[in-house]
Amino acid sequence: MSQTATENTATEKVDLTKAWEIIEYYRGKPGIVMPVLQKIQAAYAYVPKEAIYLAAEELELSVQHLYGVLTFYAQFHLKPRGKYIVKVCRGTACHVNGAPTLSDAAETALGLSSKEGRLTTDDKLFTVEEVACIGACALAPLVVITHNNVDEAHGALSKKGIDELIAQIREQEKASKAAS
Amino acid sequence: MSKITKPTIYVGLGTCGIASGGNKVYKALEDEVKAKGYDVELKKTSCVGMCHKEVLVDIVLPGKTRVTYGAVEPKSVSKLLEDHLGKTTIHKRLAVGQYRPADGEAPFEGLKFYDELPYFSKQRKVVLKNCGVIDPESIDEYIENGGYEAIKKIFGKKMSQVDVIDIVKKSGIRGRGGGGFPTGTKWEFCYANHADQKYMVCNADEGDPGAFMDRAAMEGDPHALLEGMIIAGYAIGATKGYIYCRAEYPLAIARAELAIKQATERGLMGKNILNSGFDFEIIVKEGAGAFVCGEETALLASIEGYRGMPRPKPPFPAVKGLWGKPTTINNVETLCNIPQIIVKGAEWFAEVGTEKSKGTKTLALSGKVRNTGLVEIPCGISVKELIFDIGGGIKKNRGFKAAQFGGPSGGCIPAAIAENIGIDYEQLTAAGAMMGSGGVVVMDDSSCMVDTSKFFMQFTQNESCGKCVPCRVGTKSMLEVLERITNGEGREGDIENMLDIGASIKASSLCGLGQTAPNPILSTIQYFRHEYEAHIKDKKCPATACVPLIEFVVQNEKCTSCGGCAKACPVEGCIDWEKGSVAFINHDKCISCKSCVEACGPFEAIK
Repeated sequence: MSQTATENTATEKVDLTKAWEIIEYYRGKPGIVMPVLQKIQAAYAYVPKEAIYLAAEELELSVQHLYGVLTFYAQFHLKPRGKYIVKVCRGTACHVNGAPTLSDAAETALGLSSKEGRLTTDDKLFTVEEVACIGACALAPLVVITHNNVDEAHGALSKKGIDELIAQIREQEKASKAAS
Repeated sequence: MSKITKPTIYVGLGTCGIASGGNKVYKALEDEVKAKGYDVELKKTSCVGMCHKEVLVDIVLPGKTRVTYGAVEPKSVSKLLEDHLGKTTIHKRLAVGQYRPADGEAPFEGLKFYDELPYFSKQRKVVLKNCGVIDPESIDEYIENGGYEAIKKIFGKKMSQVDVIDIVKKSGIRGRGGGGFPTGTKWEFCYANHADQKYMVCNADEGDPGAFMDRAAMEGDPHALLEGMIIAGYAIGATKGYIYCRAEYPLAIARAELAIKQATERGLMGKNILNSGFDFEIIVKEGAGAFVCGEETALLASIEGYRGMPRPKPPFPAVKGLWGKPTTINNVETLCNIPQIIVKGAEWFAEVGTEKSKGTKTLALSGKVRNTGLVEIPCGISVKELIFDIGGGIKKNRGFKAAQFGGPSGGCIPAAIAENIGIDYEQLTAAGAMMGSGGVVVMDDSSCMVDTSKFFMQFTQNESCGKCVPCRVGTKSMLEVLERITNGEGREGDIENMLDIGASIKASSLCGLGQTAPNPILSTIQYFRHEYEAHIKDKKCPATACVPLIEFVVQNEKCTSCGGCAKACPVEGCIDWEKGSVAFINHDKCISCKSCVEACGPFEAIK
């Protein structure tokens, strides 16, 4: 699969309270591996190593099984990601309508490079990803920006449009920082 | 439609409507209604299929027909409401069409009916009949439009499981997920296997890039899917159902979960449905981004919490499926057809279509076609009718080159034979394409077929689960050849080599992903061999899509000396330009980024 499993190298300690709650909720039910991992990811925006070990022990699953699942599916992330996830659709319609230039534009605007494995900005504000077809092909090329688990789709986007979106988010962040 | 008592406004809020700014239009309508004190009901609906005209707003007044407005923006809301609600006249600028009048409704003068619009006149809506019409978050609206009649009929008339299977078999419906296996026969297999527990699974893992029919059906009419599943569950003897939906469709998941809650509250799902003694519950399972999970055995592994890898068949899921129990897996669109087949009968369904492909098929039309969106056609209409009559032809009046059916598992139908190929399972397969799940991506003369093949091969190679060698290694080696060709390093014999590897992958892969992976390449070689040869022998990309093979040159006679290209070029000293003079591109510095071509835009002076 496309995802390379690089472990979380963050040094700060992860607060496992939320992971505990999720594990307690699912304990004893059938077919829970995916939902547990998905809920953990939703809570932390990635799947922390500590939570994987905790889930394995508490739910009597092997760590290998969990890592097997986590590295198989493209939507699990083992590294912390940015506050805003810029997802460029890589569907067919988006491809023929210029999605590759959008990915490049987003990376250039944020100083990132997927080729070199740099997908998240140093200030942890943005992550750029290519995602499987979102299914809004009539509005290609499409970019979805995810923030706090809420997706906002932007259709028929140009290079300029993506630059503007990024600038807009930066402004918002600056303003909210200044306000607090 | 049920009678309304006060003016009602519907805003199209499917994924595509929202992506086009639907929520902003909804907010603007809300504000305007409040500010002007209109007495109206504001409702949400889903996608009617005209994605090219989003944001769509429907307004219906008591005693008048329902009118659809397209390309509505927040700033156009005030005038729109003033005309339609205030003066009871059509707001001409944005009007798209009106519904046929129901009893006691008067139509508006001078506005076309839906079935007179070219986009709709050749369509026939069965699966999508409620999409974009009703509020998908309201179970009442589904019921008012004939919803849950099918299960009332089955349980009211005490129809047996065999009765239900017989109707489905007689209708001739075949699996809409791409395989085309007769649905009734599939149910019969599962019905015949006795077990303490059976499962009914809905495959909503619509992974083909360029396909969004199932998303639209789930977002627009989730109760139809649930009803279809209840019927399927009853027929095969399953008390538990799963909807396995890809995580890229959050809105579809949310609406399915809401619908399950509503249906359970009404006693239409859960224990002892309509006092029949039959229990059925549905659980939504979210995927996590793996194309191969659309394959049924991989899907089951994923529900069970493992890596989504396929296993050899037999045993088929009808014998040994989810958690080792007999299981039927049907696609969303297949299940959405079922309630109407039960209510209206097998003969009604089989009236439409060709000899072996009955009924309608939903298609997601996208790419370089004017009217992009979701359509539902009677099986058998020609590819040309789809693209030129429904699709309105090619954008910017460019030349139609080919239509790609079935995504990474399918192939293309070139313009030359588009008139003679009818859209049904047999004809598409015979032409080297396939019905697939229904994604149709239209290519114009600027689309390179080699580049498109490479795109699909990148996709399948990336999504190959790696379990079997032919798929894991074969797709990789085909991709390597394609990468060489599009980089200008193609060699004599590459085409034959790919035909050879392709045949092996098809013959020896474990599951459908590998067995169909070479199709896009084999079909483009069949019809566009000359394009491959141009890349390999002449090192040229005729469609100017493969960047390493293009040398950008300024066409002096077209250049307006505006300097836009020089300003856009990211490389210093690449483009020579002075005010008033024609630009010149230095090829030794050009990085083929295409920035200059984009900057030149409508002048088309750089080629």
